[in-house]
Amino acid sequence: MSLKYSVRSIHMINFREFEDVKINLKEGQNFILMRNGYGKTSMLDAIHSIYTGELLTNGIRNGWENISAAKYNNKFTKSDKNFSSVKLEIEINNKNGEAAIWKVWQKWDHKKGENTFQTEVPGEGLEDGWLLPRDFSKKFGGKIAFADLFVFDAEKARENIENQKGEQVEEAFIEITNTSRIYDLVHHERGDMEQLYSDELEKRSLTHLDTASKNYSSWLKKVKKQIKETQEWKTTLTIKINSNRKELKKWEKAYDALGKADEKASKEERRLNKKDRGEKAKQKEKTRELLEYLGNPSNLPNKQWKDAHEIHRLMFVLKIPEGVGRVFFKDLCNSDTCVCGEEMSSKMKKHIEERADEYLEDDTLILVKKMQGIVQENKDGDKGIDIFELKEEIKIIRRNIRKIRDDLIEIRKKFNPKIQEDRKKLTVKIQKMKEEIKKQVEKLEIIESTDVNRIRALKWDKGCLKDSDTLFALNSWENKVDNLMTLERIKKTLEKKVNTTEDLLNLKNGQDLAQIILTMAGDEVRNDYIKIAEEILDESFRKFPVGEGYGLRLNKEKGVIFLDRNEDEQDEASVGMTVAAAYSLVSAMSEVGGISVPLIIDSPTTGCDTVSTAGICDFMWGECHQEIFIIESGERDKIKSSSKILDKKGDSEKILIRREEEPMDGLNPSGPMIVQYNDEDFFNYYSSAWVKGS
Amino acid sequence: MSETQTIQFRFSQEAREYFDKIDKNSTSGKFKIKLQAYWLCAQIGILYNEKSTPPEKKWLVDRFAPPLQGYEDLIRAFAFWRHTKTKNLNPKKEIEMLAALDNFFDENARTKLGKIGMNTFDKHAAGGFEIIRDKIGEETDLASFLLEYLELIENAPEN
Repeated sequence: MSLKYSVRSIHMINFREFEDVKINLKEGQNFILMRNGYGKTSMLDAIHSIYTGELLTNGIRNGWENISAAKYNNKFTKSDKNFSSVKLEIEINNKNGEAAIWKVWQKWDHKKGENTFQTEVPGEGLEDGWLLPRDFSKKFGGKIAFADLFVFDAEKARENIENQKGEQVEEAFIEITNTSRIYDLVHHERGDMEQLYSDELEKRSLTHLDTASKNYSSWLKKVKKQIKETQEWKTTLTIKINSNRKELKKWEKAYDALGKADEKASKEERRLNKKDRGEKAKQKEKTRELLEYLGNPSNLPNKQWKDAHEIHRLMFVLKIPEGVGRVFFKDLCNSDTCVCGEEMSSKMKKHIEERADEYLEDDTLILVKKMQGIVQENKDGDKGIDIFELKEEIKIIRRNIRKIRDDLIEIRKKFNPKIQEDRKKLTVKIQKMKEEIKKQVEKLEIIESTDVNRIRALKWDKGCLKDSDTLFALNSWENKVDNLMTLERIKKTLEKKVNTTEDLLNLKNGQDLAQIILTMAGDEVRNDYIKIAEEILDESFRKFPVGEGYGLRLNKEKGVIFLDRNEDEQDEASVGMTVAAAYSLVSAMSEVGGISVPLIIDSPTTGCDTVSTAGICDFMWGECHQEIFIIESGERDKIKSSSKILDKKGDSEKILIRREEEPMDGLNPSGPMIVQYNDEDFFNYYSSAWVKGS
Repeated sequence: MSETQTIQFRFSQEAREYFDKIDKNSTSGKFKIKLQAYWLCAQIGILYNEKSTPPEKKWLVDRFAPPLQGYEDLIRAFAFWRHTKTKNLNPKKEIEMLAALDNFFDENARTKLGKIGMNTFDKHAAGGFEIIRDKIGEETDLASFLLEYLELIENAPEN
């Protein structure tokens, strides 16, 4: 047995009908006798709540939403009713079989409206919260259906069996076999695995993984194809350029060779070409000079610059602006003496103050003064520069170029007609080839360039990729990007996307597979347990006189079903049979769950006749190491008349809970609730021997 | 003191295309920077006292970059002269001239020109370009263009 525990005491303060009642409990059988209406159900609910760690005011069980409306009996208690509490002392064995007492309180602070747990952990003291040991919390923590098996109202248990709630049995099996986590993962819509998957989708800005993945893969395929084609094209183009260059060289050689055929003319042509190149270079240099000199307006020969110079000179002479700026005058206003040493009168100060803003800011003043200085030095422009002289020089150069061109035409006429014709043809061919090579080289540059700025400036990437490499305009790319580097970047981006989506696809497939495996494993474990439980259940049930010849089976939909001698399912069963079935189920579950726990039952023989009661008392009770039965006087009498179980002196604890004064007629009991531990009172209470005040 | 200016010279699209053609086709040289073309236009606008509406945007550059950087004081002085002429300012009147200088220049701007100064430049550049376009017409070679430009300078009015 992995879990064994006993309830040592229940202490209730200001809790429903109980002002301050502590019930001490023993190993073996404990019969708690109390009248109907004295709080049997409340006590049972409190124990159930402490077992599961589910606060009563969480409303898990009906009627506990407002504990502050607890029915304290104000007449009998002077306790502070600002709070209520139920304390359970539980002796729990650890794995080594060593026992320790754990104390758990459920408390209500009515002023604050708080309902909390506190736990006294052995050796560690009091701590907030429900902190029962792991073995215990694993079995009972939050497991209401499971706790219902051991802490129950026989009336309700019977109803459960009769109503055949398959779901509850199923749930109890899942809890008892600790497969609930597996079922959570597999079946709950927002289970951890589902959550993980949807979190990943969100993180990667994807909504429909299948579509996105399909698209990325298909685009990646296309871009890979395009890269391959472009690389092939690059090779073809390189070969073509090389071959064209060879061809061009051949034609140029042929052209030169034609010239050699007429050596004199050819020599002259070469001389003129050289002269032409020289003149053109000269023209370039002079043009550059002219353009630069035109940047200086003082080089202008016009009257206007002279006017401009004169105005600035005049201003300079007139000291406009002054040598000092606005700040100087503002400072002067704050001074007692003028720069000339004269004392500053208020009139003078006022005058300066009024005019200070008319002067320039110091920085503008410096700028203007510097400008005036430079203008003074540049009355006649750059020294020795006359732009019209330059103009004439350029004109002469241009005349020379024209002359050379005319001479070249003339000299070419001197070649013999056949050669002239061939040269003409070759010239056209060479020109065309040069243009073709130029285009091919340009195209090759588009393909090969790795200069990111150039690619972007010349739009060779068609705007496909942004700086982050994460976005691209698919339409532009499909519109044909030729730059290999851009294509590679698109490919890289897509690969990243595909990897991302593949990861997720794998994750999803893995999850689906895990779900199948887990479902199968969970079902298998559960089915094994159900099979074992069914055998124990059936065997246990057949021990009862009422069960003789009958059988019990567990059904997923219907819960517990009764079989007759022919193994046919019975539609109905007697009260005795259903109560016996409930006990048998508890016994089976306890066995299967590997636990030895106290059985706590309210009204344990409800609805049973004497035969069934005898069967329950003789065959079922005593199976657990601790049993707590909460009964009222009528049930006590029924048990006493049906079985010898209550007569066994010393074998069981008999506890009476009653008001201090209870009249024989049962009306108007008074005084505080008290606990008595003696057989005499237990059997006399509301029996024929019961006398007022006894 | 005026606020730091970030405005730039403005040059119309038409003017840019005109000079781009020269840059693309000329065998006798190219403009080093587009501002050179802008200044050639502004210079003609100042000489001819011709102004036109500059484009709203079409920013060019926010300073006198080389090779014009060495002449920037003279260029500003020349433009200021035209400004005083246009506004009929008397260089002997100190207050009048100080106000004009204060408005025309701005040490904090990279061009060292205030709002009025910048506008004066842009308007003359626009006006000057119209003269060039009309009188020189389409020209695709820099040397040929400059020879024609010099004719414009020679024929500029006296005042």
